[in-house]
Amino acid sequence: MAQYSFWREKWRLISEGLFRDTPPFFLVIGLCPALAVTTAAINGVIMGIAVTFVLMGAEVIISLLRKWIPRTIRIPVYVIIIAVLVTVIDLVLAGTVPAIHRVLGIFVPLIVVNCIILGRVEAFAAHNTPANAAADALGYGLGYMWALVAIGSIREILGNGTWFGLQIFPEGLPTVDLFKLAPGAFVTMAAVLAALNVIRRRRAPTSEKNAAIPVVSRNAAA
Amino acid sequence: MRNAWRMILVLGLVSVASGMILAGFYGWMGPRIEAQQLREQFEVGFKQIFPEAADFKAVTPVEPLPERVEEPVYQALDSSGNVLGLVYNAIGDGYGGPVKVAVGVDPDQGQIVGLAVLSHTETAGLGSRIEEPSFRDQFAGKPVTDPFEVGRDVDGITAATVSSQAVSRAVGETARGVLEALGYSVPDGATHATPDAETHATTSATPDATSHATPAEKAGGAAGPSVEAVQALFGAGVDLGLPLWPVWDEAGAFQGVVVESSADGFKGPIRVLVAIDPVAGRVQGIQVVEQNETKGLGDKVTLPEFTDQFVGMPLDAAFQVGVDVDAVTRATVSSKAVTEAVAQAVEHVKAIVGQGR
Amino acid sequence: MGELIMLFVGAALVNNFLLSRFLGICPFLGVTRELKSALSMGGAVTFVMLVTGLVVWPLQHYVLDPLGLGFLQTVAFILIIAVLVQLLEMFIRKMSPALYEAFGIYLPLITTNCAILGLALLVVGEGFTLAQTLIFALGSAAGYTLAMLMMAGIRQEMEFADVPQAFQGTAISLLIAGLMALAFLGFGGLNVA
Repeated sequence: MAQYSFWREKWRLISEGLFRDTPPFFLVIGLCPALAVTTAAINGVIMGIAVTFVLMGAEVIISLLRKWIPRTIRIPVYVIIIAVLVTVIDLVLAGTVPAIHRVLGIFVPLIVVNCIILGRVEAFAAHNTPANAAADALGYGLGYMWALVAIGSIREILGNGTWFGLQIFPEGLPTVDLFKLAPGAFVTMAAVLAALNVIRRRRAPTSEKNAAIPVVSRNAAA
Repeated sequence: MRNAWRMILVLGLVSVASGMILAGFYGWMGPRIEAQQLREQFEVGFKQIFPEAADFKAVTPVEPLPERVEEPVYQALDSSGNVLGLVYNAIGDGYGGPVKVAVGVDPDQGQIVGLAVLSHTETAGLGSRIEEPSFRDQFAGKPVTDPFEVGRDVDGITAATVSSQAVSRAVGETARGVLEALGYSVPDGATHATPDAETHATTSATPDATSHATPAEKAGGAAGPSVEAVQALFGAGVDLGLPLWPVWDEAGAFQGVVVESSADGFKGPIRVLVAIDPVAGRVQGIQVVEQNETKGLGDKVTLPEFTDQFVGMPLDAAFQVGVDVDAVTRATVSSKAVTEAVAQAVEHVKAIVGQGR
Repeated sequence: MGELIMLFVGAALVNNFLLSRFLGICPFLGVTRELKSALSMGGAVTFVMLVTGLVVWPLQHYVLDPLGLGFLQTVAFILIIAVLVQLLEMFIRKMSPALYEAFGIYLPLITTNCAILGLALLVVGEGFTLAQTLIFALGSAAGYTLAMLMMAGIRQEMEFADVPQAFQGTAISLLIAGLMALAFLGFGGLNVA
């Protein structure tokens, strides 16, 4: 039964990031790339892969080293480790998917300052085993990916009439170009957050209804 | 204090280790990135213009490329190695930033084959329509000598004139220059004069002889033999010299040689034809066949007043402005360029004649 | 000169860091409850952007490029920025308690503000000269502060507005940002004037 509870524990950790705290929807962090690169669904996939890779690498390495890193300088050490991983994925993307790498632009190196990474490393990996840290990273990384793909899908379908490059609306049907531009990013994100607010409030028991809103606004300050 | 040292040591170790890891990784990844970027450029951009192309080979220009062109220029080759045309990247100034287009040119016809918009930051739905075939396709088949002006010979995109202009300029300001920089001749309009060798060798140029056909074209091949072909004959490590043609009179008597030479003037290269009589050891005469110098100043180097002073100069003269050549007033740079081109041609002939003896 | 002015205007309005480049969104939503904190954050960002531009430019052109260490860019920049912010905080606390009171407390937040690292990567990526770098940093910071102040002004007014329940919190702020971005879209094309 030990085996069973081991995997159940991992699944609990994964699902936490994947569904409950999904950034940037339920934890309002990591917004910049979520707004900037989501002009197409495929960009969300690639960005999500990059973030998952960095998060996974950083959490596992730091969890392994957690006993050796002096507390006082832990943040600089974390930052260096994260920056190395970011450079690695940046080079890999440049060498494998150069077209998308160009679209993502500086948002790949900017993963270094993405609050999700440093936040999870400091809050979780520094106090947990590598296996748990990996599960946590997988949850948050994939959670971030589905969030980006969701926003990217909305913007690509409405703004371009395509989804992952496939024609969705018949050719010639006018598209709402605004969704490809900067304002479209903000509006889409706002609409998605509002929709999720409604869904959450419906699902939540009456006692939690009032608590639902402060959770979102409190995290906005993070 | 021990703690501080420990901190510095740990931080230093982490930094050095990460630097080394990254250096190793970059050494492995760097060449792959370059190869991938080239492949992407070929597959995504150039293949839109030359769908049958199997390979793209960089070619070395003989003269500086126009400003907007990103080096290098490529030859598109089909699977059996035939040259389909030239293709290169050019940058235009768009509304939201630089617009990068790939331009395909047919050097023999002097025409645009097609173009592909590689990257841009134009407004979605307006300027971004430069990507659409309806806009791009109108460039195909245009002679490189066209003005490429939006509203005149290029139809702009409604409400996106700047973006349209960016593309048409990127094409118009480069296509002709690229052909010239690679040594191809560019027909000036529909017809052009074909001066015969006799007049070349004996008379000086007229000022309107600014953009004639180059002798390279007259000599048959668009650019003479390829360097590869010559290297196959002489072995690697050789290079082609200046183009040179022997000149005969009607009776079949050798009159001398004509050498084409060029040097950078005030506003780009000046091409000069130099007629030399190696037997007498004298310059027969020169003709400035192509220049873009300032009107009323530098372009006076094409006038007989300037060019005639080379007639009859011995091959061992100094060929230096201020020594044995008088410069055109207020056009020293242009004068020096022509003189330098003549000196080069003379050196060339002297070298050949000297070896023959 | 005209080119530098266009660079400034372009960085401040046309390609606004917040509303067009999406750099530094977290403080845009986090510290724009009131005008005062928005202004302080803007001041801190301005300060750090200028210093970052001044430091990063020589680092890239005199150290990384000559040594062929371009791939260490991300690591080097983030470390430099972290050290810089730390030193600035210590310096300001010592030299001017009033200034520290005004925006010093926002400095630690700035290390992880992607606007700073973003600026560093942009000035190097665009191949600016040192003068252009400074003007670009100044313009970007001005645009950043402007957008922060506008957001804070609107949000202060919103205190008394009856926002639909679903949109309360971050959603309405993003909607406002969307409308502001739409307005700023009108500045597009100024750079070719």
